[in-house]
Formats: sequence, C-alpha cells, structure tokens
Amino acid sequence: MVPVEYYLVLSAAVFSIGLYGLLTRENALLFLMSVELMLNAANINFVAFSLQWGNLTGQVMSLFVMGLAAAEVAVGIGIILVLYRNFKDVDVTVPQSMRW
Amino acid sequence: MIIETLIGFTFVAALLTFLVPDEVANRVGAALSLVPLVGTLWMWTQFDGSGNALTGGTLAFETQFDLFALSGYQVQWFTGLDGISLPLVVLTAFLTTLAIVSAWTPIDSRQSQFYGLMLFMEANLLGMFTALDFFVWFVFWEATLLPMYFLIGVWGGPRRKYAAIKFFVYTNVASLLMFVGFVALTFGGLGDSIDTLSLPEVAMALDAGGNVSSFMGLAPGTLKLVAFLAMFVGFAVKVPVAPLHTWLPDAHVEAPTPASVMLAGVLLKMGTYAMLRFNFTMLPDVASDLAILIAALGAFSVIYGAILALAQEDLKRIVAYSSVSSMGYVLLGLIAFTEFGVAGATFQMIAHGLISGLMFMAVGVIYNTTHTRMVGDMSGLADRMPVTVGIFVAGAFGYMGLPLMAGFAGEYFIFVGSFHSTVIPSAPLFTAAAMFGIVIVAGYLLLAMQRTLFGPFSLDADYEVGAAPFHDVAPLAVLLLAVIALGVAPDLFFDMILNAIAPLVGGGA
Amino acid sequence: MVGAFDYAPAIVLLPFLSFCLAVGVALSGRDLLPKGGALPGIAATAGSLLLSAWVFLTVSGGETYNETIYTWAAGGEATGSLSQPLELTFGLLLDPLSAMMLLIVSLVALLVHVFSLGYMNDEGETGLPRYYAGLGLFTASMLGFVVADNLLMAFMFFELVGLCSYLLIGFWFRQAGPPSAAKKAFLVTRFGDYFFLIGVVAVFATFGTAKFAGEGSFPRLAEAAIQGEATVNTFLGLAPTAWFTVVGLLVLGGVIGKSAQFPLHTWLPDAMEGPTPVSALIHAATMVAAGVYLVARMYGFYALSPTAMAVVALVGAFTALFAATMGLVKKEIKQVLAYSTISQYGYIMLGLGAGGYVAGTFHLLTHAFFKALLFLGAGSVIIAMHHNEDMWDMGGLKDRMPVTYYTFLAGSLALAGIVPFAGFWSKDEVLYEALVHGLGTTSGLGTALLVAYGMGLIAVLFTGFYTFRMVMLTFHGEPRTDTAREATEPGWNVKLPLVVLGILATTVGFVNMVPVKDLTGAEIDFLHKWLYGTEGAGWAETLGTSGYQYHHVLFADYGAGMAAANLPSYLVGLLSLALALFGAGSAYVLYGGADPDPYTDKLGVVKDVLYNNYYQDEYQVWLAEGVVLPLSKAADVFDQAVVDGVVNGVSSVSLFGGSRIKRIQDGIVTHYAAMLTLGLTALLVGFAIYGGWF
Repeated sequence: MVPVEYYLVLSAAVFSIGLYGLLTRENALLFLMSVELMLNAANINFVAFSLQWGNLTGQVMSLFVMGLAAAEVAVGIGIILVLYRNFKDVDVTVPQSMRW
Repeated sequence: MIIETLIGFTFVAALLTFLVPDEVANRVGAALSLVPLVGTLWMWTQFDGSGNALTGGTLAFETQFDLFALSGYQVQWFTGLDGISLPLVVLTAFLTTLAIVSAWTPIDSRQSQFYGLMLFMEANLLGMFTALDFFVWFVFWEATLLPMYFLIGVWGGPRRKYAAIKFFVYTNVASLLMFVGFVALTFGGLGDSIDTLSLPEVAMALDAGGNVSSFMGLAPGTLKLVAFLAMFVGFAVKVPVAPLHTWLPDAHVEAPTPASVMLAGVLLKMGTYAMLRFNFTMLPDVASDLAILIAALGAFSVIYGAILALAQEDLKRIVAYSSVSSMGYVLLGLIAFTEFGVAGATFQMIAHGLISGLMFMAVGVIYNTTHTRMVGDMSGLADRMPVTVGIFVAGAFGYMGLPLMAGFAGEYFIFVGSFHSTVIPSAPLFTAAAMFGIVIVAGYLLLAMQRTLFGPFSLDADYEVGAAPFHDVAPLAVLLLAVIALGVAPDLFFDMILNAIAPLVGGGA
Repeated sequence: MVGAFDYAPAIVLLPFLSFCLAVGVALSGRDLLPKGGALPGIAATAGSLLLSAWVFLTVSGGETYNETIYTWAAGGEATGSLSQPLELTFGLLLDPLSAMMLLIVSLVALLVHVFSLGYMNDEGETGLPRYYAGLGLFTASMLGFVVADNLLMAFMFFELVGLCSYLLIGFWFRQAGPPSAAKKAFLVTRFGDYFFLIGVVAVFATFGTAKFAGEGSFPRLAEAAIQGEATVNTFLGLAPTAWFTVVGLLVLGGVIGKSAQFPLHTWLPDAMEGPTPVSALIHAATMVAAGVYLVARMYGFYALSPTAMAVVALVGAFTALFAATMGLVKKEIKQVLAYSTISQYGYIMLGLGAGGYVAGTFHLLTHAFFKALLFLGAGSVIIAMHHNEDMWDMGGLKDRMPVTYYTFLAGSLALAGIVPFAGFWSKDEVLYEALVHGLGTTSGLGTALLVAYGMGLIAVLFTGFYTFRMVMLTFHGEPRTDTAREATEPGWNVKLPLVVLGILATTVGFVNMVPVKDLTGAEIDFLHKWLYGTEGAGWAETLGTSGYQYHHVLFADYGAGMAAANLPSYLVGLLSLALALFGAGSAYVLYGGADPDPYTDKLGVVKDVLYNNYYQDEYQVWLAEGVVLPLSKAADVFDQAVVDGVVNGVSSVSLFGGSRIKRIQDGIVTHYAAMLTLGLTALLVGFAIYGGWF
C-alpha cells in the first residue's frame, strides 16, 4: 500500500499550485480553476485519510466537496459572465468599485 | 396584565401604522395612541401601590413570571408600577399622543413610517419605565434609541446624519459603560447571593450590606465605587449632565419637532429615572461619599446650561440648552437625599417633560409658519399669530418657574430639599448657587421673546405669516393646561412620589 | 352663620373670573363684550371692594381670620430638629393690616378700571380684552398676595403680580420700547426675587412653616428660638440671631426689587412705558407696595434683628434721598412721578426700619391714594396733550382742565408733605419715629437711624421742590404749545376717579394725627389703635401681628434693642414742614412765572449726572450686555470648541483610523486572496511557536 505521506505531499503540491495560481493570475477563469485545484487537494486528503483509517466518512466528505465545487463553478461562471458583460473583460483587477 | 396589554397593543399599533397609507397615518397613529393614554390614565385612577418598588413596597399592576435562565440567573418578565414610575408612564403616553397630533404640519413625507416609529418608541418607553428585571429593562432601554435615531436621521434638518449618529453613538457608548458597571456589580460583586437580575432583588441584596465580594482584584468598596461611577457616567450622558451634554443641542436642532418633544420630554428622563433606580437606590452610601462632586456637577449644569442658552441665536438651541439647565436641578435634588429633594427631582422630571415639550412644540409651530428659527430673522410675531405667541409666553414663564405652574413646584421642592440636605456639605450654598439659574433663565427667555415676538413685525423671508391652524395650537393649549394643573395641584403626583421616595431616604438622612 | 370671612376667597376670585372672561374674549378674537371687557372688570373689582369693606367692618368688630384653606402639596417628613412636616399650604390671614390693604387695593383697582374707560377705550386702543385680562389677573394676584397667610403663598402671588406687570408694561408690544422695558422690569425684580426665594426656602428649612401669624408661626418660633425656648434648624454654623438676620436680608432682596429700592430701582422709571392707568395701579399704588407690605407683614421677624432693621432703614432713607434728587431734573411728567414713587417707598422702608410700624403702614396708605391720584391726573393731562408727556410742552393747563388741576394739586400737596394733606401726617410720623428711635437707641442701630433720618429730612426739601416744579410747569404759566392751548378735560370716567382720590388724598391723613394728639391730648390716632388692637387680648394676642407685639420685640434685648427718646412730635413735624414749604416755595418762585426758564439746566455736570440717573442704568446694562453676554458667548465658544471638541476628537480618532485601515479593502480580489494566505500563514506560524513545534 502506498504510504499516506505520498498522498499528502501530492495534495500539498496541488494545493500550492492552486494557491500560486490564485495569487498570480488575473483572469477570473483561471481563478476558478485554481480554486478547483485547491478543493481537489482537499479531496485527496480526505480520501487518503479515509484509506488510512479505514473509515468511509472521508470519502463521503469528498463527494460533498465535489458537489460544492460544482455549485461553486455554477455560481462562479455566472459571476464571470456578468463581469464580462459589464467590463468586456474577465480580468479581476479591473472591477474595483467595491472598495472602501 | 394591564401593563403587558398596553405595551403589546402599542407594538401592534406601531406595526399597523407602518402599514396604513401615508394620508391617514396621522389620524390612525393619533387614534391608536389614545389607547395607551387612556390605559395609563385608568391605571393612575386605580393606582394602589405604596412604598418604593425596589425596597419591598407594594407594586400596582404587578406581573412576574420566569422567562429563561441565563448563565445561572433567572431572567424574568417582571413589571409593576410604584409612585415613581407611574407619573413617568402617564407622561410618556400623554406626550406621545400630543407629539403625534403636533406632527400633522411638519411631517410631510413617509408619514406612516414616522408615526409607526413614534408608537414603537412609546411601547419601548412604557416597557422601560415599568420593567423591573434588569435584562428586560435593558432591552427596552436600548430599543428606545433605535426609533429616535431614525426619527432624527430621516426626518431631520440639514445636518441630520451627523446629529443622529452622534446621538446614537454617544448614548450607546454610555449605555455600554452602564452595562459594564451593573454587570461588574451583580455578576462580580454579588455573585451567587442573588439568583435573578430583578432590580428589587439586587437592590435589597446590596442594601443588606457586606455581601459584595471582591472582583478582578478590586476590593468590595472599590468595586462599588467603580460600578457607581460607570453607571453614573452612563446615565449622565442621557440626562445630560454638563459636560456630557453636547449631543443634545445637535440632536434637538436637527430633529423634527415631534421628535424633539419626545426627546426632551421623555428620553432625557430615562437618565435621571435610571440614576434614581440604580445609583441612588442601590448604592446610596457611595452616592453620599461623592455628594459634593455630584452636587457641584448639578449646580454646574444649571448655570453652565443657562449661560450657554443665553448665547444662542436658534430658538431650538435655546430650549435645548435650557433643558441641560433644568435637568441639573434634578441631579441636585437626587443627591440631596431628603424626601423633598428626591421627590422634587422626580416631580421636576414630569414638570420639565411637560414644559420643555410645550416649548419645543411652540417653537415648532413658529417654525412651521416662518420657516426659520433664528432669533435675528424675525420680530413682532405677536402681531400675526397672537394665540401661539400667548401660549409661547405662558410656556416661557412656566420655564422660568412662575408659581402655579408645574416648573415652580418642581424647582421649589428641590430647593427646599437640597437646602437642608445633610449629605451635601454646605448645602445652602450649593442650593443658592444653583438657584441663580432662575435669574439667567428669565434673562435668556425674555431676551429671546423680546426680539422675536414683540416689536414691529418683520421677517427675513417671503412667507405669508398668519395665525397657526387649530390642530397646531390645540396640543399646545392642552399641554399648557396640564402644566397649570400640575402647578396648582402638585399633589396629583407629588403625594404618590413622596410615598415612594420615603423608604429611600429614611428619616431625612 | 355665614360671615364676611366665608366670602373672603371671593375677593380674590372675582377679579380672576373677570380675567378668565377677558382671556376668553381675547382668544375668540371678536368683539364679544361691550367696552372691550371693561365692564366685567369693573363689576368684579366693585364686588371685591364691597367684600373688602365687609371684611374691614368685621375686622373692626374685633374678629380676625387665620385659616388654611388649601393644601398645595404634601408635607413629607419632618426635617432636622423640627417636629412637624412642612406646611405647603394656602390660607387667608385677615387682620387689621390685611383688611386695610384689601380696601386700598380693591378701591384703587376699581378706580383704575373706571379711568381706563377714559384712557384706553375712549382713545380707541386695540387689544382691550388683553388689557383688561391683565388688569384682572393683576388685581386677583395682588389681592391674593395681601390675604396670604404664609410666606410661600405670598411669594407665589408676588411672582404673579410680576408677570402681570410684565404683560401690562409690554401692552403696546408693537413698538420697540415697551417690550424692552417690560423685560427689564421683570428681570430686575427677578434678581431681587432670587434672594427672596432663597429666603422662602430658608424659612421652610429653618422653621418647617412659613405662616405669618398665630401660634407656631415663624416670627413667633424665631422669637422663641432666640430666647432658647424652641429649637429650629440653623445653617452654615450660625447662631439663631445671625441666621435670622441672614434670612431676613434674603427676603429683603425681593422687597428691594419689587419696591424699587436702591440698587434695584432702575426698572421703575422704564416701566412708565406702559399705559398710565397701569402705572397708577401697579407701579405706584399697589404692586410696588407689595414689597414694603411684605416687610410689614413679617415685621415680627425683622424686629428681631437690629442689623436687618438698620439695613431696611438705611436702604429706605438712601433711596428716598437718591430718587428725590433725580426727580429734580426730569422733563417728562411720568418720570418725575416715577422717581417720586421710588423716593416715597424709601420713606416707607425708613419708617418700618426705624421701628415705626404704624408710621410705615400709614405712609403706605396715604401714598397709595395720593400717588394713584397723581398718576391718574397725569394720565388726564396726557390724554389732553395727545400723549405728549414733556412738561416743557405744557403750561397753563389749570384753566383748561380745572378738575384735573385741583385734584392734582391736592395730590401734590400731599406728596410734598404740606399740612393738612395726607402725606404730611404720614411722612412726618416716619421721620419722627426715625429721630426718636435714633436718639434713644445707643447701639449701632441708633447711629444708623440718625443717619437715615438726616437723609430723609434732606429728601423732604427736594420732594417739595420737584413736586411744585412739576405742578408749575404743567398747569401754571402760559401754554407753550398749540396742543396745550387747545387741551380739553376728558370725560366723567376720568374725572370721577380723580375726585374720589382727591378727596381721599386730602382727608385720609386725619386717621392718624399724632402731632395733634400730642398737642391736644385728644385720642384721634385711629390707625394706631387699629393696628395695635387691645393689648394681651383678642387678635393681638392670638395672631401676634399687632403693634404691641412688635413694640415689645423691638424694645426687647433679644430683639432689635431699640429705645425711644422723649421728643414732642409737633416740633419734629414743624421742621420737616418748614423744609417742605421752602422746597415748594422755591419751585414756585423759580417756575411760577408765565414763561419759566429751565433753571435746572444751569446745574451743568450735576444736572447731567442727575438726568442720567447717576448712570445706574448704564452700569446695570453694562453688567448685562458688557459682561454677561460676552461671557456667555465665550462659554459657547468654549463649549463648541473644547467640550464638543473632545467628543468630536474621540470620534475622529476612530474615523481617522478607519479611513486609513479601510484602504486595505482596495477592490482587487487577488490582494484579498494574498491577505487570506498571509493570515493563514501567520496563524500557522503563531500556533507553531505557541505550541512549541519549533
């Protein structure tokens, strides 16, 4: 059996990639993708620990996270569409009116 | 259950008024406000309480049942009336109805919301003056701020936002301070020796003496002092005692007339009422230790407020500062710890409520007609609106303490009470100093009247100035009659107030 | 049996009803009553006069009345060392003094109502219901003050007459002057009332009661306390005598304000802005008398303190002289009368302070009539002169208005103190009392009384001069203007009051001719007997408000400690009569010609000082406008800048902090994400350090 540490390293790597994408990209679609990556990193953790402890709760939880991710994409794409309609762009640094 | 019914009805009435169309809101609001008025008047006739609510007296219309437990304390619905709260309840209902009637002319937008808020405020005030459980009381206490905030902020003058926020934040911070003080005293000091937060229980536990434990490193004596100061400052903002008064003129100047009437007439009394219930009933020993300071503050408020009123050019600011001055008398009476002092202070709350309400309303009627309140902008109004001016003059003399009007009775009782106080050192000198207020008040009111009401008519604006409509003048006349009635027969209230005060001061202490 | 005393409250209530009626008419804004509401006023005051006469007759039968009729407020607990709760009550005290005063007030009020028909109605004034409402309320308040059985009630009605005075001085509110004068009158008297109110409060705190007369009244308690027979509260660590002196002087503040004594006299000349009948009723005959009446009312209390007596006498005498000098140079007829009023009330104060209870009261009585007469006479002249009050525009009116002239002359002779007119007898008695008590008493009080007598005597000379200067300028010589040439006498409603008062001013002095009694031995000092009663019996014993009681206290060691020298009263009277004749005669010589010169203008700087009232108004106005107003403006600036500044400063700290920190919220989502990440990292590092992972 593959030791759990490998999964965790993988998950940490995926999460970091997602985080990196979130911090550096300005395109809203890439934002969404990065968030997906981070969520999936969490999913990997859930599944890995589920396997480790022989407990199905983690796997069930990962199904919930997928559902959540789908919902999030639906809302997110909606926001991005509105963003595009208003600014003719999907750059997240452009709309700044929601500040102080 | 009559108290609960009235409070509940008023809340429902507020909701109803919110929903009716703007055109009829005034009439609906006025009609609905008659119910609590009639109810409180009925309670007045049926009043059978005796003694003080907080020292084991007999309550009238008492209701008491448990609501829920909160960190080891039982929260109760506990209401009832004694000789101190009944007059204030009557005052509240009376002024609300009149204020609603007087709002006819000045309020010309969002009427249903305005009258709804007025009734909402009345319900909370009734609750505040009748509740005897701290938790319930505090909820009502805080909830009165909300409607007033909106009344100033929505229907106010040009600087209404500044005034509303200042009013809300200032008094709310003060409430916080008071809350901390009370909680430190009860949770920290009394600890397990009480099992509810009902005010009589707290007062009697404190009165039993010696069972205040130290809390957070504060010795019992220090804890009581800190709690007293926190509550005192908290209430002093509400009164307001100079130098914590600066929110008041701003709030009054910006507030629409009916809101000013309620603010000066009832909301200021919350501070002195709570001071009497909390500081002076629960911690009288601390109060006597600080007597010289508090008496000095009272006298200072009287003179300082009056001198400031002298400098004002805006009629509403004049009346606002004179409120600071008049409420200083109340503080002086409370700290005297004599029957006449404390009872006179309570009477003065009622008297000032009626007279300041009258004055604000009269200024409002003048403003409705002339669209200005600046003393320099007008003169000789008596020529054009004789009845209003007549009532204005009568009210102003009431404010100056003309005998056979309510203000004189209140002030006189306070002076007699504080003159022979043994708690205040050199009490006659303090009293004499504060009494000089009666000269200054005559000075600024007479000066303002001479400049605005008399002399040849002129107005710095193109408005047709004629006699005020009947529905503007009627509430003024009713208030004036009430002021005279209380001045001729102060025993309408004074008797029951004395009865409720007597247990507090115990043989002229 | 129903007697006069059962109807006594109606004396007060009748004018009050006429007030209510007039207010109703004024509110309706229509002409509901004929004569603008004058008739109910006349009916009410006539009713009061009849009832007062009935009361007077009953009192002269030896009966008196001293009962509480209404409890104003509950009394509460007993205070300090007292045994009884406070008595906050209204009641009636009907004894010879108040019965006499009732007659004066209701009679003058009635005559002034009648006169007002001529002065106000016939002159076509508007706002008459308001005028008659003011007169009605004034009469009611004044009568209420007179019958008050305790100091609190007296104070209340004292304030109410002040209100009426304000309303009536400011009757012509559309002009600039009257409202200002009204304000000044109320404010200056309020300043005195401030001390009075402290005094009332102090009396309650000291004695627990403020009753004037009878068992347990405060003068009696005070007397007993000084002798150590009763305990009362004293304050500020003072002994009873010293404390009572303080209280007496505090109450005297109100007296000085209302009776226009120095230094609070400045309002009275200004009060002449009001209608002349009002000047006659309020500012000469009755309200101004309220102050000195109060001293007479609680004379038993003042008599206990030599200091208070000396102050009363000195203030009175100084005012008498001071005001008389100012009256010398005035141009307007009502101004002369105003200063003479101040001066005459000074005499009354002098009489009372000098231990002459009867003398002071006597002068109060005579002055009420002759000064009301003089004011109404002046009113008649003013009607004829079409409201020009300058005496230099008059002259020669005696042929054109004989009734006015002869009655005015009677009043002037009384005022100047020429035998046998009323003022002679009373003023003479005042001076006599001051002299004999001054000579007899050895303490500082004696010296004070002698000084006071000196001032009073000099004032007699000036009084004679200014009175006849006024008479000569107004009525004698040649008319100096067309108006004066065409003057005609007003109707019956003006003449009738003048004649009634003229007869009284001539004859009322005969009620107390002490010099004649001393010469002939005839028992004709009726007023003396009236106010003394029977020693040790009847009302003199039960009420303790008789001259015997006062005499006893005045001469007791524990009281003022007075003593009387033995002097024949007619000699003293001759001296003052000679001075008065000299004063009047010189005025006749100087101004008696057909076209007199303004001689007083030749006084130069002295005239300026006098004409400007010793700059008393200036310094009081300066106090108000030059000190208090700037002070209040400064306080306002301080309040806005410092007190409110602190409040706004506290809020500006959070506002400023918020305005800086909110810039983190810059709207760029990436930055928020970075912040989240940094926050998480910081949290992890924090936990790591705290948890000891490193």
